[in-house]
Amino acid sequence: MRMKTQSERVSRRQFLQLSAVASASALLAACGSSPAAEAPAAAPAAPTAVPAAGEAAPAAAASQYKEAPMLAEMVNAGSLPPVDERLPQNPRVIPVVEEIGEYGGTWYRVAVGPGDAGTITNRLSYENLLRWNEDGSGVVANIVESYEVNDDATVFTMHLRQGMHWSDGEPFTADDYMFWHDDVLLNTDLTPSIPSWFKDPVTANPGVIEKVDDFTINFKFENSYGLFLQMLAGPSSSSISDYPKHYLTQFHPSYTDEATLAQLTADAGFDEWFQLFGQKRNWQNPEQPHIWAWVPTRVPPDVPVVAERNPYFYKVDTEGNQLPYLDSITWDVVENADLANLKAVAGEIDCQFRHILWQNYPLFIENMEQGEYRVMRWALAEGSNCLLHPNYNHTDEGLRDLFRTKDFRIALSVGINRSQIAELAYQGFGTGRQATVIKESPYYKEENAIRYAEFDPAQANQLLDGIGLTEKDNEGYRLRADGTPLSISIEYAPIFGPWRDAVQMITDSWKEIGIRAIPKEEDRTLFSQRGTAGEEMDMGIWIMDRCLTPLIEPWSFFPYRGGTPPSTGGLWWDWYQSQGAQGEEPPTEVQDQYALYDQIRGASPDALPALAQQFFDNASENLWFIGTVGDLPHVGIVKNNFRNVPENAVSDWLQQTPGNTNVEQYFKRQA
Amino acid sequence: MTIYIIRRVLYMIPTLIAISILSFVIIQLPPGDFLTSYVAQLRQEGDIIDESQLESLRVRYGLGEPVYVQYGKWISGIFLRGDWGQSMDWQKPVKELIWERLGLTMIISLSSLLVSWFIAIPIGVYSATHQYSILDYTMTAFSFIGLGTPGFMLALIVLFVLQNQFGMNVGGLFSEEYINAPWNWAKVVDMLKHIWVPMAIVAVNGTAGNIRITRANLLDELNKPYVETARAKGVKESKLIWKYPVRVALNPFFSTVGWSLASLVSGVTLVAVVLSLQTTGPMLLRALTTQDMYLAGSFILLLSVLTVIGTLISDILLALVDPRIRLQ
Repeated sequence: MRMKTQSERVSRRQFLQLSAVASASALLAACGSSPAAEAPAAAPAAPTAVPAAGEAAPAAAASQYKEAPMLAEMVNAGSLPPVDERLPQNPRVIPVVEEIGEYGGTWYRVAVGPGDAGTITNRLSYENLLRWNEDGSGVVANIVESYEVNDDATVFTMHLRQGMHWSDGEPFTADDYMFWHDDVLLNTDLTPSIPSWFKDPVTANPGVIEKVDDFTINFKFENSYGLFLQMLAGPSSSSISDYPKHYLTQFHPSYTDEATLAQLTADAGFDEWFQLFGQKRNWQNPEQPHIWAWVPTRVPPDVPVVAERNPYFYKVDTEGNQLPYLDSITWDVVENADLANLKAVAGEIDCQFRHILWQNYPLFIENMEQGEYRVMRWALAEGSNCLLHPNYNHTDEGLRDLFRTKDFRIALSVGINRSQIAELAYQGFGTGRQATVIKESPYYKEENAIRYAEFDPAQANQLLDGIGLTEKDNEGYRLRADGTPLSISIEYAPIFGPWRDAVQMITDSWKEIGIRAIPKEEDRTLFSQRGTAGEEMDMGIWIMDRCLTPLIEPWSFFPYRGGTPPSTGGLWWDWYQSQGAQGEEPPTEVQDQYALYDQIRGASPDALPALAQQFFDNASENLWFIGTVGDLPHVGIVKNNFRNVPENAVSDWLQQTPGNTNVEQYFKRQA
Repeated sequence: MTIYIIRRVLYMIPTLIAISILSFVIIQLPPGDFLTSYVAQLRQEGDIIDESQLESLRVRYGLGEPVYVQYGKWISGIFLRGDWGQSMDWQKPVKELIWERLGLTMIISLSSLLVSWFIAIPIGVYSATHQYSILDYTMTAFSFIGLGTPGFMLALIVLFVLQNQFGMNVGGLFSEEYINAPWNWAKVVDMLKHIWVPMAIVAVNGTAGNIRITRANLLDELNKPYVETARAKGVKESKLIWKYPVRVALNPFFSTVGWSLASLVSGVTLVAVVLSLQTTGPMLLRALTTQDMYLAGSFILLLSVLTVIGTLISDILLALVDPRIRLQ
């Protein structure tokens, strides 16, 4: 056997190469071969230079990769295979933000309520087949080492990493995906309705997964579905990589005989096998293996909740250190968000953005030194925190027709004093802007953000006069053209921001242009019901978030039947969904936007950007929604010794923030 | 007496059935269900669950079924198998959750109840027998302050003072290093270090109230002829007071045992929330707000059972203690 000692320098160069190849392979997705797979095979044969004296643990000395001391001990004790065998042949290489980290330490966080530590399933383990890159400009390979799309975007070939493992050491292969497809997705007890991301964009039939070999699978659709790549990188599809077949088959009737399964179900206190299955495939079941960086080992009702490092995690840093750096994550469970903020101020949280409120920013700054933390401001992907949703399918035809008049919408928009709202309601955080994507988005255009966003009561009055709303009542409010009173009630459930103040200021500034608006605060559930019905809500308020790469669910870019967000074009959307059989035919510009969205769903990766740009421009020009204040920060608390957290990042659900910042390379400086 | 008790126990059965139905229905009255509140909580932090996932959760939890089917399954589970159902929020059987927390809650509530009686009764007796003395005024002033200050407020003040002046973190029942530790002597000592704070806070309110009750009742009794008679016959003053009027004055304590038992479980909720104690109160509160119906329903059923049993006990105790009460 050949001796495999090697220097730090050589391995680092190789890994830089390797990472370059890996990302190149992701970019050249259409290219058939996977050159990256060959690189690591060459690595052990590299000539030996000066061995790094005494730096690596004995077990790691003969190894291509390095590992955490706690794992090296287990390897020495024989309770764990060596790191080279645990990692796939071609691990994913993660660049570090600041420096190569130190192993060890616990990441202290706070969860609000027992289920909240469930962020381990998504935001803290963004382990999808593909994922968004750090800045949201594109989709890259993650679990897969490479992927291909055929020319008409109907077949998506995924090349899994050979030698990848579940956290219990079992191989992670195509069979796990086949199990999800055949036995979970197509089982009507487990999946009563097919998720929309897996449906064909035209026929709405479910897609198909085919196993090509142990490490290759094909996703197939009847029609072009270029947007599927973004679906695979998004949160909805993340769970398909969390179905360990070898573990879950013991709770599935296709693999386990009826009597045994009935016994297991009854023992666990359930009536049906799928309830047992649901409980077993759950982050709150510490027995279930995962592929995440940390796997839950202590779950509610035990607190604190703990997740510990996965010795088989498939990612390494640029110097070949197996990730994650941190040994474990610990969540203290508190009753409400205020307590979480207090703990942050006291310096009891290592790094957290969730539940940290920008309203407390001054408090955080004040206690920064004492609490030994720094305060970070990531960008929230909110195009507008408080977005006005006019109802284009209102049962009140007078109001409906006014909303459908673009000049009326423009007048309402320029009649809002946005800088005042930003200054007073948002305490100077955020800026007044129109409803469009955020400035970090690849589809951002400044003209879209400032369109009709300048406070100009004179222009508003002129426009309103122009559409015939010239008569006023004795209080100075405009009457409808037929002489009846005009009044718009703005409904909201104050959930995501200082909406009570913002709506009050909107109604105040509309008074100047003679528009009577009445704030109407209601309970969230009621709001959601009224929003779904979409008949009698004049104008609703909801958040316009997910605005970095919002193509998957672009509900704030055309009139739509919602709930939360409230419906703006319920009947129009019904018409579109039923291909004209139900609802009401929308005007041309809306039909065009719906048609454009159909094109986007099918578009090949090359054709997508231009279509998407057109889509967002259209939305902005039509002003279907009126934006107020956006560009708010996502404030986070990070301890001074907690490193590799980027200063700038976008916080978004589609990007699974902080998952998109590679939490596995966060570390704690011990000294 | 035996017949009386048996009759009362039989009455309890329909009462409990009615309570269990009512509470189960009331929990479900607000619009939406556990999943809508779950989705709303996630959405607060920007997390979104897609429709298909919700659909499968709805099937898994049996939320689509009518209320009476859900109730039937739940109640038959309790009676036939001792199975209280599953908590959706905690992903655990309800029985595992409730019993775990019940112990700690009982310790805090019971000890503070006893502490408050031991302090309140002597002070109340003193205040009544030395009415309008300086000490009576002082005690009266203190007890009014105690009555007027809500427990959670007191908890906040204590938290603030201890944290600021002594740098002590008194939240929770254990220090960081003992939360995960198995039970041993060191952990018990650690718990005792923490438990006095909630105990004292809870006891303050009870004590203040009990002082007033004892004082008022005893004052009523002191002027009654039987006291005069006893005194005229030359009974020693201290023996006289403790043996006759005090016994009568304590009636309210026995007649409220019914509520005390239930408040052992649900009591001190606000204080527990403020001090983040691992007791049943915050769990019940959370179960109600998240519409985790089996957990909330089980709690309420448990509380009702305790109240009903408590009322029975208090009736029996009263009969034993108060010579004026006759069973008919």
